[in-house]
Amino acid sequence: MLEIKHLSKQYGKFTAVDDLNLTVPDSSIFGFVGPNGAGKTTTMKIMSGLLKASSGSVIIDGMDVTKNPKALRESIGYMPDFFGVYDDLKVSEYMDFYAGTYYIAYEKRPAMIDNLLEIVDLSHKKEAYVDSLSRGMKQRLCLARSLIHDPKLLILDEPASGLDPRARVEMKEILKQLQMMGKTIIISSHILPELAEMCTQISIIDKGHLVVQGSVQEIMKQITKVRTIQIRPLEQMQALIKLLQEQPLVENLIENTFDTEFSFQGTDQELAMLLKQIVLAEIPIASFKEKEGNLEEIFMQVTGGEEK
Amino acid sequence: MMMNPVLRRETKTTLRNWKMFAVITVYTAVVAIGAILYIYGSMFNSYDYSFDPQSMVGMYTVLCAMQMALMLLAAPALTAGAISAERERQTLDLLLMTKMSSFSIVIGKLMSSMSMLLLLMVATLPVFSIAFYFGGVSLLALFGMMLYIVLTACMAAAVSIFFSCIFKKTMVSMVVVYLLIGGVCCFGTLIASLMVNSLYWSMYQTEPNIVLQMVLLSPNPGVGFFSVIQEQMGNNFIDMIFGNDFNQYSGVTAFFIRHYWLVNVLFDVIVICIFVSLSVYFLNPVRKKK
Ligand SMILES: Nc1ncnc2c1ncn2[C@@H]1O[C@H](COP(=O)(O)OP(=O)(O)OP(=O)(O)O)[C@@H](O)[C@H]1O
Ligand SMILES: [Mg+2]
Repeated sequence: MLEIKHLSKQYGKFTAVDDLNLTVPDSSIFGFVGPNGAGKTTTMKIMSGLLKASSGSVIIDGMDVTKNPKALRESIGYMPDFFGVYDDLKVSEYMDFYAGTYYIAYEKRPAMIDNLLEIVDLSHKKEAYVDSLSRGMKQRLCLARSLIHDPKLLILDEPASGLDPRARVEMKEILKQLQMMGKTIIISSHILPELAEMCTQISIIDKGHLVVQGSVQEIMKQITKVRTIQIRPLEQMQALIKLLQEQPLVENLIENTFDTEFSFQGTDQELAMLLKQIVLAEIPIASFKEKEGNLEEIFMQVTGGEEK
Repeated sequence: MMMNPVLRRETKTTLRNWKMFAVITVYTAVVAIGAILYIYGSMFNSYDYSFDPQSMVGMYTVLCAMQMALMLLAAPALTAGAISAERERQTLDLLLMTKMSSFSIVIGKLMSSMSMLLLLMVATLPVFSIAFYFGGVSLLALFGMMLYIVLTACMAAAVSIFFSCIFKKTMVSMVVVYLLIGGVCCFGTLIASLMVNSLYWSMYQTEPNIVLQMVLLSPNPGVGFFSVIQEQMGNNFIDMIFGNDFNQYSGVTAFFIRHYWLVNVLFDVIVICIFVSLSVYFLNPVRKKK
């Protein structure tokens, strides 16, 4: 569906996106994660043909975005991170205006608009003025607007920002529904866990570089070479700490009130050896477990690590 | 045929807004007060303080001049925010992403400003009908004059749209357009023409080439305006502007002196084409080079 090849974007001397390569498969939900200033918005604007890349190319359905922007506009629905509304229009008129910009026949519009407002659950606000809507409603309205020409590809820049938890869940439901209708969705966010459960593919970018790309499971595997182990001894906490401190594979030892946590950089065999040592030292162990990879932590680890 | 969506939306919202009616009322009031002042003025100036229908011809000129000046003021005010306001309220990207071409967007904006201006002009028609009623002018003349004013206003609007594409702030575009239209087109060309004139007299003791003068004054909407008045009223403003012995000229030159407004019309049409094209170019987010 969409392919990005060696994409770079410079603002003056500042490089916002640096040699980015991505492939978005057909009818997938593609998550695009990164901290503030990572270059998500920049990349998405280039994809939608609103910004010119410094080098590299974006290819949608085999067509270069810059070569034929007009033809591609028909297959792209774009929702920017910040957007305004025409405040002196009603919701239905707002939709009608955008239907007009795609030259949809007048008589087809009412049914279409009703249908779309139904999808984003705004039917009851049809006759309300757009500026009387809450932020979350405007967000949903903008989503409906981006669907008006039935695009194959949806580029959504932080559609969930500013939404309450319930609205986020609803937004996810809408997106899943759209995916089932056969659309390809590219969605950006700051928050990895939020995307993880709905996206088929995720790529994490930071400072314009691609950090990892793949399915959620793959990413977890790639990143969690270092695992976190949690041990809860019945007693003799100090002896356990002392023993762990002597281990070369143990790092970042944290002592909590009842247990201890550390990152372990070894194989399963080495981990087994460690446990055996502790048992041989006659420290009673109540629990010895590998902590579940926490997406939030992974994200912090991946995007914050290089700063030093 | 589908109506230009931008035009459709803007007409809809403007007509719904009471502000537009306030503007129309004020505008008509200004023109009406101008007419009343003129009638009073001419009554005081006449020997027996009476109303002289003959002065209606003069009133027509004054009203049209007022209309023209107001239109030239209103056109940038209505248009200078065409693109920059969309940018400020963050709707421009959404608009550029649609199937509408940059050309349709620019034309839609231009047409929406022009329709507002037309509405203002139509609203003042009752005032003009006073001059009309007393036999000052023919309906055809009035119509021709309106066309000339609309075209000039359209020129100002096209220039405004262009600046609204390249400047972020609406105010900046508006100031620049006023400086260009008022400062350069109206006064600048007049001063330039006078300077060339005196330069020629001091250097060659003769009048400058008439064609040079005509080209210099082509951007000046005022000269064109008086040329239309001359055409309609038979007075000789243009002879005064270009020197008195224009009878020496013949053929094409003479034709264009007699119908000088054609030169202005040509200028306006060219400027509209150029600035619309430039706007279309600068509106394209992925244009070739900055
Ligand atoms: N018009 C611009 N001129 C100069 N620099 C810019 C411009 N737009 C973005 N940048 C810079 O490019 C970098 C990437 O910005 P971008 O908006 O793409 O980040 P983002 O990932 O969308 O961040 P956020 O999560 O805050 O939305 C930032 O460092 C930003 O300062
Ligand atoms: Mg962003």
